[in-house]
Amino acid sequence: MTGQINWQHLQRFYPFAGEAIGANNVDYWLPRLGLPLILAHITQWAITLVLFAVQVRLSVLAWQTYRKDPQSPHPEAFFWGSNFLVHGLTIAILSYMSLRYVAEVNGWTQVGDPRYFAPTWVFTVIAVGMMLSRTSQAAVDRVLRGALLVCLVVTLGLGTLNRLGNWRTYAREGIAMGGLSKQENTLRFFMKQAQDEGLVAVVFVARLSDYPTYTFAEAGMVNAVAYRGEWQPDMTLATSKPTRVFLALPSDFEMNTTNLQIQVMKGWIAQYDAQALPDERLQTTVYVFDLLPNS
Amino acid sequence: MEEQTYRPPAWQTRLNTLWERGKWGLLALAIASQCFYAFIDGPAYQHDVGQQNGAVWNLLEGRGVALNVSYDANDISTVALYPVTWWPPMKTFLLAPLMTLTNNDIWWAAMLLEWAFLAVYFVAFFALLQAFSRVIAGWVRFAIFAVWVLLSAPTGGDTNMMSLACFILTIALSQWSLRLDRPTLGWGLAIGGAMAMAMALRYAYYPYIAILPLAFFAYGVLMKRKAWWLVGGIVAGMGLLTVLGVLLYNYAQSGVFLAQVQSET
Repeated sequence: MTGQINWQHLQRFYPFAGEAIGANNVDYWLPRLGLPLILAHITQWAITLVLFAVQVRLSVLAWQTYRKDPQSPHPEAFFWGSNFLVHGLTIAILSYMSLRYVAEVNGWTQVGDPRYFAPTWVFTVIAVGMMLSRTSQAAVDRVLRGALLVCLVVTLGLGTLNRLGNWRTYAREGIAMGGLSKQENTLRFFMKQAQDEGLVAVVFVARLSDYPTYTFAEAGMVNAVAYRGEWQPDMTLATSKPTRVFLALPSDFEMNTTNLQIQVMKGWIAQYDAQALPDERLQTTVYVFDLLPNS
Repeated sequence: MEEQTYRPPAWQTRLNTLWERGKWGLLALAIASQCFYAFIDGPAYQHDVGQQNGAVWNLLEGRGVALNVSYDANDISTVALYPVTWWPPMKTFLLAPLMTLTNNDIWWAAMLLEWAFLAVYFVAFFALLQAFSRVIAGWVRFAIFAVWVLLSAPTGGDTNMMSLACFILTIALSQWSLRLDRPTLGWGLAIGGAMAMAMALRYAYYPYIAILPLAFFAYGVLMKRKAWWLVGGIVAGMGLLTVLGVLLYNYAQSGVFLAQVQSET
C-alpha cells in the first residue's frame, strides 16, 4: 500500500459483465483472426455495456411492477436490489484496492482480474434469460433484445470455435490430461520418487513471474519442502539428512544476468553437476541433484 | 395487453416442451460435461488452490493447515510449518475426508471435490432459473443449459468456482423463499449456511455478508413484513460467525507458527 492513488490502474478495468456470456473468447480470438486487439477491447466493452443496459431496463420494469401492486410478493424486486448492491460493492471495493495498492510485477491489479467480478455473473445470466423471454414490442425492448442477440452470436460463435479446437486436438492427439495430471514425468512425480527413495525433496524456485506458483503447487501436492529462506550471493547448501534438491528456473534463465536467485542457482548447477529433468510439461526448467550430509 | 395476445413461434413452443420433458437430463448432461473437461484438465493447481491442497498433508497429521518449508540453507532438510492463512481454511478442511476416501491420493481427492462443487454450481443455477420460471421462458432455460453443455459455463475455475457455486446457491435459495413467501427460520438457516460456505472458501466473499441482510431488510420494508428481517438477521449472524471463526482459526495458526519460529531462534 502506498500513500499515492494509482489512477493508471483503472485503465486495466476488466469489462466483467461480458464474461458471463463468454466474452473472454473475444479477447482470445479476434487477434488470431487477424483483427486488431483494440477492436477486441472495444467489442468486450460494448458487450458489457449492452448487458448493463439490459439490467437497468429490467430493474426499472421490476420497480414499476412493484409500484402498481405493492401488496403482492415481488421476488424480482429483491433480485434486482441485490444485483445493484453486489455490482456497486464489487466495483467500489476493487476500485479502492486497485487505486491504493501497487500493481504486481506482471501488471496484475484487482480491477483487471475477472475472477473478482464472479459474483456479478449470476445476475447477468438471469438478466439475459429475462430479456430474451420478454415478448414486449416496445422500442427499447426491441433494441435491447436485438443488441443482446448480436452479442450472443459473437460470443457463442467464438465459444464454438474454442470447443471445436479442443475436440480437434483430442481427435489428433488423443485425450491427454493437462494440469496436475496423473501422468508420470511431472515435477511431483519426481519429488514423490525421491521421497520413496528415503530422501527429503526440497525445491528452490526463482520467483520472477507466475510460473513458480505452479512449482510450489506441485511441491505441496506431494508434501515436499519449499525453500522460503533468505538468498545471499555466496550462499552454500548443507543438509543433515539425504536430500534431493530441485531447482526451478524460467526457461530463458541462461540469458538472465541480474536476478540473484538465478545467479545463485546457476552456480549450484555447475557446482553439483545438476541434471535437467527431461520433460517440457514441467512448465519450467528444473535441475536436480542429490545432497548428502557433510558433502 | 400486448403480452397477453402474444403467440410464441412454433420452435419456441417445441423447445418449451423439450425443457419440461428433458430438464433433469439436461442438468445431468451439464454436470457430466463440465466434470469431463475438469478431468482432462486435472484438478486446479494455480497458486491459491495449489497451496490449499498441499496444506492437507499437515492437517491430516494434526499440524493444522500448513505447508512444509525450509528457511535454513545450512540445513535444508530442517522442515518448518508455514501456515496457510492467505485464504480461509475450508478448501483444505473439505479435502481432508476425501483423502481418507481415496487412500491419500491427492489427485483424486481434489478431483472429487471439484466435481462435487461443479454439481452444486449447476444445481444452484438450475434452481435459480426454475425460481424465475414465470419470467424466463422454458425455451430460454433450455438454451442456457444447452449452451453450457456444448460450450462452457462461467464457472471461474479453482476455489473461486467453489465459492461462486455456494453464492449462486445462496441467491437461488433466497429467490425460492421469496417465491414461496416463506420468511422462516429454516430458510434463513439454509440461505445463511450457503453464504457462510462461500465465505469460508474465499475472503473475496466477505463483503457480500452485508448484501443479503440489507436486501432482506429492504424487502421487509417494501412488503411491510418484518418476518423477512428475521431471515436477513440469520444470514447476517451466520456470516459474522463465519468471519469470526476463520479469523480466530488463522490467528491461532499464526500463533503456533510464531511460537515455533521463536523456539527455533
